[in-house]
Amino acid sequence: MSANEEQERLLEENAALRARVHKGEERNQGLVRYIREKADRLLTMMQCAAGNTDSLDDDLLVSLDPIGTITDSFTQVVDNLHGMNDRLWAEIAERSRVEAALRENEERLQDFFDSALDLIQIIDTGGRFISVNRAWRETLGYSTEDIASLSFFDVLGAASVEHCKTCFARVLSNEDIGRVEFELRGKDGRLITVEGYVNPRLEDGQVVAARSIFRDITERKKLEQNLFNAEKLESIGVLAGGIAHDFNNLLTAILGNISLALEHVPESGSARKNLGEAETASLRARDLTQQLLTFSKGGAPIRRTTSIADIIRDSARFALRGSNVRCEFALSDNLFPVDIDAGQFTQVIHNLVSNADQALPAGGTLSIRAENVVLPADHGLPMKAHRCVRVSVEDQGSGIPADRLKKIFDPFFTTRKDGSGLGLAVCYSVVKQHEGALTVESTPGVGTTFFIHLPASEGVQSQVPRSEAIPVAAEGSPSRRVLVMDDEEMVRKVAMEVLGSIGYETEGACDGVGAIEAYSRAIREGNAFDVVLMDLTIPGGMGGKEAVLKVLEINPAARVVVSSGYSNDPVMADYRSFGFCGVIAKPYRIRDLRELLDRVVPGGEGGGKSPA
Amino acid sequence: MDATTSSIILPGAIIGVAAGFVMHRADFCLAGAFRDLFLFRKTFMLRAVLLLVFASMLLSDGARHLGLLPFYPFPLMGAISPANFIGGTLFGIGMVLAGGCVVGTLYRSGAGNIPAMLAVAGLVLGSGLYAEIHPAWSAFARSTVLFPGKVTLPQILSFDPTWLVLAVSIPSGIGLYRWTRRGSMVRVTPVEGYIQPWVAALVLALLGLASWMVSGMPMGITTSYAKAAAWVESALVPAHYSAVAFFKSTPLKVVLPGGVPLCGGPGATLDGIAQVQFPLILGIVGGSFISAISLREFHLRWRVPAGQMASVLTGGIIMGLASRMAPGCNVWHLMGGLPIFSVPSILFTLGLLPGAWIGGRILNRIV
Amino acid sequence: MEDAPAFGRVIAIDIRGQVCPASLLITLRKINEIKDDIQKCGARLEVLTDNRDSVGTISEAAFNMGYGVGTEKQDGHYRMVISAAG
Repeated sequence: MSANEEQERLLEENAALRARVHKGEERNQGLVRYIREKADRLLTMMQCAAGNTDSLDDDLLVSLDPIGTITDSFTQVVDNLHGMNDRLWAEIAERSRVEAALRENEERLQDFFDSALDLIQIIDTGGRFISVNRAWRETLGYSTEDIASLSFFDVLGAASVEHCKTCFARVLSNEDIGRVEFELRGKDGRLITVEGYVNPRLEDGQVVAARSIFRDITERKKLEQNLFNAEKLESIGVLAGGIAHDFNNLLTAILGNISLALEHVPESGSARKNLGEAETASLRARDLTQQLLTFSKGGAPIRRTTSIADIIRDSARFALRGSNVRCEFALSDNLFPVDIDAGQFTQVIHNLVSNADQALPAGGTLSIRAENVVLPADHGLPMKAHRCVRVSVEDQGSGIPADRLKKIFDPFFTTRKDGSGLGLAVCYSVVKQHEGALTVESTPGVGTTFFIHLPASEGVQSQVPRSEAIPVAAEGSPSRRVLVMDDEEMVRKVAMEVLGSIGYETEGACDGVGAIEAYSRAIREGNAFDVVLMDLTIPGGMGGKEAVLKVLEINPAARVVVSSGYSNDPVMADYRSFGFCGVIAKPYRIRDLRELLDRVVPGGEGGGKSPA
Repeated sequence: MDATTSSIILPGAIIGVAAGFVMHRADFCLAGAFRDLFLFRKTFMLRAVLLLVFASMLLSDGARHLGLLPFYPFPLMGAISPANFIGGTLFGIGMVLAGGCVVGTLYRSGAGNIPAMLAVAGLVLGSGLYAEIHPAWSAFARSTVLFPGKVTLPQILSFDPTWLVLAVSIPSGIGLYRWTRRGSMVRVTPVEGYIQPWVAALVLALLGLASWMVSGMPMGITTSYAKAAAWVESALVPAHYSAVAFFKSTPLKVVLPGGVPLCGGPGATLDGIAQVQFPLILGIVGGSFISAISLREFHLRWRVPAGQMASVLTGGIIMGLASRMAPGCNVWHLMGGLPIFSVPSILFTLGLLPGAWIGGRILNRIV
Repeated sequence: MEDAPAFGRVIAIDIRGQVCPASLLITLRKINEIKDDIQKCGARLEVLTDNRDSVGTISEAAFNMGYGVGTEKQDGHYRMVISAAG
């Protein structure tokens, strides 16, 4: 090859090389530009201000490795974010768990709150209700909307306001007030007694609310009150019974002396009339004490077969003494005899007539009917017998409304200001103890009728002759001897006098021991007593109950009669099983005593001596 | 210097020092706000700028009612024309390239930033360049005037500015309140001596009002750059200098309350413009210098690559041109004109947005 | 560079005079290098810088990466200490 060609070839190569180098440089620059651009963007991502890499030359740029460095750093940023995210999720999960637990707890508490039978309330420091449970709302009759505008002091019974204000103030100062009791007033005005506890709720040591749980004790209070009333009555009854005993003795003395006096006054004349009235009055007094004793001892009636017509008439007339109400009797003639305690039954008629009288304040007529009835099988009355005597007491007064009708026999139930509420209760219990039934029918505005059904007696009616001469002991017959035992001297004296007037020889003893002694002495002396009259109750000494046994030991055929003011004592009701052969209730009239002794002492008037 | 001139120069200097200090501490620069927006999608600094405009609006209207403003609107606010918008766009481009706005470059210079000083030089150059195209441009501006004789929106719509103030301030007020509640107006930062931008915004609004009350105009700077260019030209090429009509103009001709006359223009004389603007400029530089020194953070940063120097200089020149073309710079319009709904300022601000965006794209291409 | 890590040791870098982005990159690279030491052995990175902007940028980057950052102004510069968070 020639030198020129060589030169040309070299020049061409040169040019080609230069071109290639140039291209390479261009590409280089392009790459560098690309790197710088991307490095810039990465730096921008890292929030680097003055975002230019032109402060760095190429070598520095590469040595700093912006792309690698920032990628690594960014990975850490992402890791950090992931970590934060995980922590947040964990916190959310924990929070949800806690929320769920709280919610469950709340539901449980809400359950207790709402299903509790007691009244639960929460009030704020101003007394306004924060919440109340269902039992509270239902008991007091308020709805949820109502209580939003109420405060605790709005639902208190008037009598409890002051007490509650004091208690509340103490609770607010975080004092423990223990158990409280007060009255709440329902929406309808009804008063409800509650007892319970009040606890403060504290926040940062300050009282912010008061929580209370109360129990409705209204019923309990009522029962307590009833019990208290019953106890009161019982103690009154016991007191009354005690007085009645002494009173009875006095009445015995009175009646006895009146009886004696009646012996000695002329048939006609005002003295006999007056004494007669006195005797009647004394008998009424006796009935009254019987009433007291009946009620105080709730005792068994001493029943005797009687015709009740007289009792009805007497009792009704007495009850209407001084009243402007007239009584119409329609008592049929052949009434079945009934086994009744005359005293108690008198009281029953008295109470019923008295009620009817009060139902006719402007006067009027009440009618009393008595008739024999045979009840059909399905009579529906609470009694066993079918053959009855039905007594009805009817008035045309204002009547009794139906809702009160079921309550009138309840003790303590009365619509009268001064009523004891006992009258009809006594009637009811007396009739019931006679195995009868007391019912009532009433139409408001028309009138009221009480029905007494008494079972007919199987026994023989004892006739009580109304007026009779008092027989005198036959002349010449040896007198019957009676031993009278009674701790009350007056009673003993009058009994001995009465007995004396009807031809008995008497001796007195003041207690069981004395009586036994006297009896055995009499037997020793050959002058045995035909009959012994013993007082049942000798306070502080041997009474009839014990003494009779002793006497029967001495003489099994001894005739001992028991007498007592407590006509309802079981001994009196069932005297035979205690060894007595007769019974007489104090106070007694001469004829009562004589009739009894006639019955008891064999041989009527006369009677031999009892065997030794 | 007589007492009455000292009523402009001294207060102006004080205002400048305060402004420079506060801006350095809060890093308060409009260019920075836009950069944050386009680059990092962060609107934190823009919120402070909005607060600045909002506060200025309320303060200037209040002052107007109280009769504290010597002139309303203020002198040297040119006529409405598309030139405002074009100027704004160019300004935006230049601002981003230079890495700072008119005051930003100043306070960074005071803190020892060499590129910033280069930008200032560019501004001077650009202003001088404008003088050459002034006849053509002003002819263009004059021929495209809209609503002659009117400057502000309320003037055009002929109602009391207060209505407009209320209409704008109420929704903006609500927005600013919400941001405050959310904490979006504050930034947590570890650097020493940081002043929160919202504080700086309020201070600057007050300083702007003070300037208006003292010198009859809100803060303005760039005319002085033209003056600097004029001086250089008059020293280097006096013959050419005297041929430039622009430097002979004296658009400012007012009398302040108190009898002080103020007149001047972009020429190389110590006239009214100089009295008003020079103290301000020097004050800003001085204030930021004091701030940096007090933090012991005054560094002369001159290790800057050539590319960056070139872009900064170019940006400065473009900014200088744009500020004469609009006319007015970002401080003038954003702190002075926008709060009183001056339409040139509105157009200028609208032009800033595309301008800044374009500038950003250019910056990314130029490596 | 360093061997057998002792617990809680301090590694220091001095980037005074550097501006963003160089300061950020240098710091980040160092963090990446010793990240295991920081996270597991309690090591700490000390950064000395005099660039105001860098202080903010480095703080934020390190914080986003999950580290704790402490800043202290010393005579004319800032001393940042980057350590494990928590």
